[in-house]
Amino acid sequence: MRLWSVILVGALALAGTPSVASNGDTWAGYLDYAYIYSSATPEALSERLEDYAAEAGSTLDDYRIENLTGSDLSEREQRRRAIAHLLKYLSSGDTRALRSSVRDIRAFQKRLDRHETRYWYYYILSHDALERGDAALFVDRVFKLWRTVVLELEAPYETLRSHSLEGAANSGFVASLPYLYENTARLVLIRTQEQGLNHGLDPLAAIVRTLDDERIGSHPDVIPLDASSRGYIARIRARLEGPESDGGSLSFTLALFEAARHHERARSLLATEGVSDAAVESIHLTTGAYQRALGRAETLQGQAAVYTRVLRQLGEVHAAKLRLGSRTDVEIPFSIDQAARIYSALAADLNGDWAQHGYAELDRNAYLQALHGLWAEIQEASLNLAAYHLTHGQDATPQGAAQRRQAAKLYTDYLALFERYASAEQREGIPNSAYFAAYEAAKGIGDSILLSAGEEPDQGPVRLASQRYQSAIELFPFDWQLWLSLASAIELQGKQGDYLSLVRPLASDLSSSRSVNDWIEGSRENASQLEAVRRALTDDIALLYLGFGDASRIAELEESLADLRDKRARVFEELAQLAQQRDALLAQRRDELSNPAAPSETSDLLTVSSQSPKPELSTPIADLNAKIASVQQTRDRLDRQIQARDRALPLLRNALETEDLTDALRSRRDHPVHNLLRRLYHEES
Amino acid sequence: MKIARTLQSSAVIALCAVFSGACANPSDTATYTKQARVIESQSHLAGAELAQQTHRMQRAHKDLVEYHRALVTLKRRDDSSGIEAFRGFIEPYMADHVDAQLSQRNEAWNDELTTLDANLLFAKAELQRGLDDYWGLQATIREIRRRYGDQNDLLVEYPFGERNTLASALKSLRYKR
Repeated sequence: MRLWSVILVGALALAGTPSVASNGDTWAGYLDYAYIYSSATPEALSERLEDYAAEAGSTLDDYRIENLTGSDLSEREQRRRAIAHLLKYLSSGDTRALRSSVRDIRAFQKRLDRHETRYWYYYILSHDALERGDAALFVDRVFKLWRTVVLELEAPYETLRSHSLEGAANSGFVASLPYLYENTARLVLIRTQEQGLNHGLDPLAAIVRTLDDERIGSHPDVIPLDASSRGYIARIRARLEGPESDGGSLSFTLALFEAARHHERARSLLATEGVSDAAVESIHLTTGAYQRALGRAETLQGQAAVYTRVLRQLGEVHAAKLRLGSRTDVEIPFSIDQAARIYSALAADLNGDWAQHGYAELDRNAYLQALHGLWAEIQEASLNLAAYHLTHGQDATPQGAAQRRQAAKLYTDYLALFERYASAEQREGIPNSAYFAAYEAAKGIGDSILLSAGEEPDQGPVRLASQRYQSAIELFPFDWQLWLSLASAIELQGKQGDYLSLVRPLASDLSSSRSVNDWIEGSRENASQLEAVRRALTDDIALLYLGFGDASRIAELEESLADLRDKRARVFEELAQLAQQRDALLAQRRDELSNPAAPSETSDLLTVSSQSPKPELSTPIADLNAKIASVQQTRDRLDRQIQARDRALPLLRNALETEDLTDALRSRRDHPVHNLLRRLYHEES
Repeated sequence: MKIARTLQSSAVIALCAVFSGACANPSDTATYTKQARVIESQSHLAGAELAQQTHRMQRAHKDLVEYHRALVTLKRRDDSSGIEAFRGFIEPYMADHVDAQLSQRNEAWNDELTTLDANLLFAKAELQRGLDDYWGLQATIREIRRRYGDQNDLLVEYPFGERNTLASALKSLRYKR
């Protein structure tokens, strides 16, 4: 913990370390107040000891040899010698120094009447137990340190504090209490992990809980809040009691915390260096730490917590490899299948005794949160890995085919898991984002198949692709590319004519959806985009365009609309010319016959009424009438086409803008529309 | 302790000032003596000391609640070696720290201290139950009865996190499985 290195070493000034005249006195003072800085990191402690040596004019070793040797040392000097050895051990890792410290402090075994001596006795022996890897001994010594020193100093400290005397020069070792809290916390929470002691610590949860309860961080006048381990211990306690615990095990919590620390570093390296050697090494360290945490987990709660985090890393690594185009092999010895098995075991008691799996101290929400968290990571890891394989499976080589099969398997496994747990009885255990992920998986299966399909593909897989695209549309009908993909699959089956009959029911489901209607009526998130798609799907032309057009072709379609309008204008001109010609012929004929009963000039010359008495028309006039009728039909057809495209193209254009929504849902698993997709899926049931 | 001696002297002076009238009436000697004892003991815990005693008892109670939660976790995990290690800590802790607070009890304590004292006894009993120390548990129940047997309506925190009358809490304590 870096703050220790920065602050505790500087706290000497706060504690009023004596300014001394002689070298010996300088070191004596620093050793007597060693409880203030002894918990610093080895680097910071070494640096501090060097500074003190410069100030004293001699190194700590020299001081010890010159002043603290011989058999006639006072109690205080003997204690200083033990502390001097301990400081050497803590700053250098020299275990011989620890053994010397233990030997020196053991001399006090029958003289533990002073708190100060007891503190150093149990503190040094605790380090000895840690170095030996003896968890039981360590726990025993820390408990003794806590009970016979720390707790005993509390009452006198409070008395002094109530009279503002805790910082007085003659307050003695009582004034050290805030530091003893910090040192105990560091010993249990950090030093154990540094020493690799990650088992048998659970009884010490009792101390961690009480350290967090108005002890650590409660003396800001002595140790400023930002310098204390207040935040750290609060996080540990929150983990200990939260959904990511293992039935309240401190050993597990510390192991998982340590793994998460490695994970943070690996993530940071991946972001800054890509899949570099250092990043890969850091990932291996992380997975090793996660394996240790898993080894400590005795409940499904703990196993779920580990897998939730390790799958996140799995997904992150493959997303980074995909983003950076890297093919570096990074071994992560955890599988999505095993995570799914843990999920299944945990979800088996969704409506039963879920508390038995480590959640006895928590409410059901915590259990559901754990289920959702694990599910979310299963889905993300599955989709990220599948996307990675699919991207590397674009070529027609056997390796490419293997990658596509791997992608299809990952998508299929996720979809199978989804179909199993999206049932009425089990759906509470899956998060809202599971539905969109299922759409991605269904679409992914279709894409994997179509990518493998040659010019004359087997009908079985293509039919399956078509079915998966339909499933994907049912799950998320707002992705226009899906309709295009479905049309492609249908085309490969040679059944283009069936397109409308296949998609109309899907479109109808959306148009008639109460959930979607309520969402739009309520002007909820992305309501206008959803409305655009819903309106488009009510129009057959738009449906056809969705299937057989795409965003790049919309300009082409709009150009063709302009062409139609030009054509229509030309047809009108032609009709007018034909009418003029016919009028002229009719007038000529009237003149010729001088017949007052001839048809009026005001009668509709552009149509030939079947009910009017058939005049004796000459052949040219009859021909003209037939031509006019034909051009009229062309005009009507053009009118209908223009009208349809006029209506469909804006619908299509608006619908195509939902691409943003697809991206938003993919990147934000807490997007409100995920909730709509859940409702939409379960609307019938 | 010098600080404590100074405070006690002040309290005695204050006591004389308050009861100067009573001292003048020989017929009220018995009443005076009784009242003086009460107020003297209260005055011993006046001001800062009263606050400190309250703080210590509150802290002891909170610690016991936390220790109990830690014990429950160990038991739930069937961690027998962990339970033994915890026992090695908690039994001397209760003897040295909890019993030390309980031994401070004075009949003249105010309501807050009385409630804290009772709470502490119940917390101790709960830990003893958790440790399967049924002999200790019975002794603590007897002590609760001895101290508060006539205060069935006293509100105590038992089970942890709940407030119940002493009678009801005792019943829960005795019959809890």
